Amino acid sequence: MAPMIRVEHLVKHFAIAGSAKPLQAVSDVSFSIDRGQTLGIVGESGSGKTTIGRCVLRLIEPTSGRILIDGKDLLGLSQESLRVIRPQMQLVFQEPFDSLDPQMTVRQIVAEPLRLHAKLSSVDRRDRVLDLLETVGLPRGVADRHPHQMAAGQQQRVGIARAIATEPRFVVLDEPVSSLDPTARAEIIDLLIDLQERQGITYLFISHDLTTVRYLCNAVAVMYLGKIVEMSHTEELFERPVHPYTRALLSAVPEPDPRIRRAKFVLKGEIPSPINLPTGCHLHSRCPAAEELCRATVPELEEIRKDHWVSCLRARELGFGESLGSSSPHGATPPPDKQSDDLWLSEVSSPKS
Amino acid sequence: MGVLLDVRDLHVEFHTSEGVGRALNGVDLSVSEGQVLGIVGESGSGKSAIAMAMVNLVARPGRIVRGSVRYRDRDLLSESERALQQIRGREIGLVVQNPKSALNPLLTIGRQLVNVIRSHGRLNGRAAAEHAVQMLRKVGIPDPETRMHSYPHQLSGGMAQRVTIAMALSNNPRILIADEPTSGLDVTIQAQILDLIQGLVDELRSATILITRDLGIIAQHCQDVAVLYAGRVIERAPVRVFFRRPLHPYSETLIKAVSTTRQRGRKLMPGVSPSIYELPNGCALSPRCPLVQPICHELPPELRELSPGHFVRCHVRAAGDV
Amino acid sequence: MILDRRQLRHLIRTRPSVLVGAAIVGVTLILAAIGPSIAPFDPRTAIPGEQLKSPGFVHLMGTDDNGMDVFSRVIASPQTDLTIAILGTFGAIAAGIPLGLVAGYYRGFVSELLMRLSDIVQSFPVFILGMALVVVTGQEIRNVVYVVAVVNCPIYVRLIRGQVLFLRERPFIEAARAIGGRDSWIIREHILANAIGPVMANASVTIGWAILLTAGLSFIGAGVRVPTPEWGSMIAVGAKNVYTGEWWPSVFPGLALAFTVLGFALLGEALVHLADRTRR
Repeated sequence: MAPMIRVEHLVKHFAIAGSAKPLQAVSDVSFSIDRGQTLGIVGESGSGKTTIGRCVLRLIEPTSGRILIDGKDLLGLSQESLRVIRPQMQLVFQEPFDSLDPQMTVRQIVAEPLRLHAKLSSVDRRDRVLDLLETVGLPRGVADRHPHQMAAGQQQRVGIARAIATEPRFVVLDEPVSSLDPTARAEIIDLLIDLQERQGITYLFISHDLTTVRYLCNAVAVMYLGKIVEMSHTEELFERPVHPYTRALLSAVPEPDPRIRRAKFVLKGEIPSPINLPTGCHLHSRCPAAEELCRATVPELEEIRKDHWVSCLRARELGFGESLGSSSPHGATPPPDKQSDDLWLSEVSSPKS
Repeated sequence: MGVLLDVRDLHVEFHTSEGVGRALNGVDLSVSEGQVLGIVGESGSGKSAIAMAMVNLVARPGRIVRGSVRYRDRDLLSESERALQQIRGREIGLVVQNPKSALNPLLTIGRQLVNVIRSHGRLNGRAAAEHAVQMLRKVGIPDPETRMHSYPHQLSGGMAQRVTIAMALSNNPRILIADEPTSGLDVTIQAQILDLIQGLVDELRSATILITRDLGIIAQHCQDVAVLYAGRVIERAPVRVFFRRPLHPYSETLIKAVSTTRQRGRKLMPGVSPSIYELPNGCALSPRCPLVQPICHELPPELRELSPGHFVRCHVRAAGDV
Repeated sequence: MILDRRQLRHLIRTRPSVLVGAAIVGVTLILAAIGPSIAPFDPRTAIPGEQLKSPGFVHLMGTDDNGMDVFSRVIASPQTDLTIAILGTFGAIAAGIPLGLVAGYYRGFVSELLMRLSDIVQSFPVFILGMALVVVTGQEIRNVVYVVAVVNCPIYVRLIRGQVLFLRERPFIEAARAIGGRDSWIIREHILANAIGPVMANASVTIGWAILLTAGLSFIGAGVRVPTPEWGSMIAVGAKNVYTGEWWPSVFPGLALAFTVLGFALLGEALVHLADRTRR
């Protein structure tokens, strides 16, 4: 079966006032998502992950590339046709409060997509709104409240209720829980999983929070400065990371278990600006494993194992990274120091400069 | 090991158009030399108020209404502003959440750093400038002599935070209070900053209070943890003990919430933290707690030591059903 | 602008002046409605032989040199002044909203043009501009209303434009687009609804100033015509008598004017402050 979402060679450049060079937010990104599955896109500032989310929904016009949603070529549609299919593909925002109109009530906010698209009588609409509130775990009483009268977690539930009001098949989740407290975060993620199981929604989950990504996603793509540097099924990526950036990212996440002490995998310096991209491999200026080759040549994504893609000129030499222990925090044992990637650790301890 | 900072019964209120918000309702904690204490809390727990309250810098509409913060036989809450200015920046360093907001946009970072060094009277002129450059180097800022002349807006978030850490530590404080020092920063930068703080306080043997909502940071960087809920410490224990066996129901939920194993239908505590304007009677968790008993609605529980070094504020747990 | 009881109480507690303002505005509105009807004497009729009587029981504020009862004219004045001020202000808002929306939502030449036109209107001293317009259009109440509207319109154009510029970047606007809203929908449902709060709050301030403008124009003889009761023209008529010691025909309307404008300003300023805070 063809994947639900297919993105091919997506490129997005932003023109910057006062600069001849554009900001290369997304450079030649391709991926696909099967129906009912969740793809996580992980990255830090400048990775382009937010831009991808917007491009896939065509809220921003891509510079080039192809986007196929359920076989339909999104970029070939007129504005009006696009509007008509919007109910099929929705977005949940990062900041719950900011994404809700402050002078509207919850009822009005959730009803808006229905008013725009569904042919319902106002009575039916009322009922549907209350159903939606129940689906996302909100008590009926909040219907007449304003966003500022609710906690952040509840606000985000409203955002989700609005997003699923038109029964979309595809939802882009743009860091939907990053600004929430840990317990609210967990509840919302559980809600999203529940909704996916019940309604078969396909998710694109954009985040910098690896812990949540591991919990929620079936597959993960790691991005750095506009390119996918590694992509695989979730457990494969977390258990056998290859790309130096992936390893750095994974080792940087503080594990909520004091017994697990990960070997530190450090990148030098700071993330470069997407306006002045480094030549060759984007990571070469910071990568402990970088060589002359990396400065000159641009790596391509290669499938080094089944369904495991890596974009690194030294991928095969570097081998697979340390396992991050079992996924259960209660039964975890600290990973042994001696690893199949001791080539790695020696690179780290004697950095080339 | 001597106790350096001893907070007792700290109460902070906010008087706003919403009413009277009770942000802190009797916080007790202490930190000793060389110790790293983590304070973890969510929104509404009071963690935003606690750092400022500890150095008596609570701004209106907030007010410290009760309690004491003892630092070396002095109560910081009853000292004069003058005396406090001697202590802040020199004996107690503070790193805040948003580094750019802690830096003066009109002055170069070099100037600001030198000001901090000089205002505590130990070094002057060239010596102060050299110390500043050294501090910048120590916090990992490349090319520090040149960077001295940069303005805050020319720095990335991570760089700016390094500068504020340099400022906080430049006078070798006995205590460092870091209030969500890495929120808003990228993951890899976050790791760098936390490792930096850890390295520096190890070197200085300072006591550190690290305030965060990230349990991972607590687990990896702190020795002891105090959990804040509705303005009170509801559990306090060494980190290893805490993660192995959290006693308070809220702590259990917190830890469950950050697990990476996908558990079908995991039961997290329903509801939300109470608004600081409408705290329930009795135990603040009573509206949500699965273990709730009648007494919980009536009487706020005391913080009790249920096993050595492990303090819990819960009627049910204290009653021995551990 | 969402206003609940708690915020109202807090507003009163922190800004007690708002009560003074509200009281004055309330009284003025009542007088505007029933002032001429409850006046003890007809505000437009001169009573022969009663000129320049000093204030006493019969004539609470005395009479002017035409023999008209000052008190009656003072309380009849709001009907004129307030009608002009309110009509003019709403005219300014009614024109300002669409212009401001266009200037804010659609960038480019049109927006620039509107802003430059606003600049031009605002660069004239209000009074001079008012006078010039009345001279050109003729001294009638209707034209004074137009003057108030024109003079205040740029304020609202800018205000709305500022709101639009601020709002259009907000995530909830992007959210409206994501659920499939067209520009017209977004402007109507989201932008206008959010921008209206500060506009309404400013209206009170504008009305206060409009009253002052009307009075000022009438004072120099370019506004409301005698014998229509109006504070500004009353002050003008009574000015010459001040030298001879008959202060009441000028001072009473002057005080009334001052208090009224103050009242609208106090109320308006509190509302503006509230409007600012509710959007935080």
